[in-house]
Amino acid sequence: MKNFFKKIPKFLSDIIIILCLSFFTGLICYQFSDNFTFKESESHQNNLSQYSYISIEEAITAFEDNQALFVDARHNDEYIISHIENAENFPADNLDSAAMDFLTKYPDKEINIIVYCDGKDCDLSSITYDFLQELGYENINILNNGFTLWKESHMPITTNN
Amino acid sequence: MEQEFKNHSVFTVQIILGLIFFAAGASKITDPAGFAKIISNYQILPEYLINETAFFLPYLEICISIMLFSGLCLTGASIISFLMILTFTAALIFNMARGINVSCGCFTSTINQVTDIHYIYYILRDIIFLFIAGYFTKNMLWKK
Repeated sequence: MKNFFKKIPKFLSDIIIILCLSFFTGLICYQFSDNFTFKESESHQNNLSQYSYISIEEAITAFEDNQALFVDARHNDEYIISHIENAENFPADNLDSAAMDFLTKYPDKEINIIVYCDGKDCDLSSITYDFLQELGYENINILNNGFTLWKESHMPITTNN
Repeated sequence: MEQEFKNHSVFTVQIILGLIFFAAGASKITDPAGFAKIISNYQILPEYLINETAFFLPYLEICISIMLFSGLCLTGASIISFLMILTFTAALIFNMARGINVSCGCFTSTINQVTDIHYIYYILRDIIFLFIAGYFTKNMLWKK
């Protein structure tokens, strides 16, 4: 135990050296890096009360009656791997590029849209929700934790295997 | 004799740990954007920390591996490596419990399709790494 306490200053200085070294190396490389383009959408205040949510049961009914367009807010890579059948991808990290295609394909602003991502704390749906609202779409709902609930309900998904 | 064997085993573990961290860092250092997506998918870190973490974490991993290979700052390197593996394992278990299957991002910055089997494999692998790092850290902290 005595040995352990003697080592405290040693390992603290070691940790500081390692952290500083990696930080400054990273910082220097960062200056020369031009391919780091990923950036989450603008800072998003997660004010849940401003969004309209629907339950999984309502979403299933809308799907079966073909009365809603499902919009996947996750990254394109994840969408390609698997998504709700017939869902359109509108990734929250690439809103501007997705907008033009979406507007051309769905000019009717009164279309019933259900936005989903994956996970209870996922806020990608609300980012896409805000953007779709800015584009003029009026009937938007969020299916919280959508993809997980959809799979748990054994509803059809499209996978890229 | 016993002490000699122990020294050899600690050195072997040190090199294994160095290789693990080198492989982890080198695979992500060239693609911070891809790694940022993986971190974002974990849905654990706040948005403003994602890019910074994606950029600096691989450098930290490489730095730790260099320390482990060179034998410099070994005590600090052992503690950081143990804490990092502990954090990664906890993040995987946390997301599995939440039902979010995300790509591990452990040795690649590519997003893959992940099933529960993959997830269990990732967690078991991380637990083995945790034991390796724990053994090494213990020997660094309590060696005479």
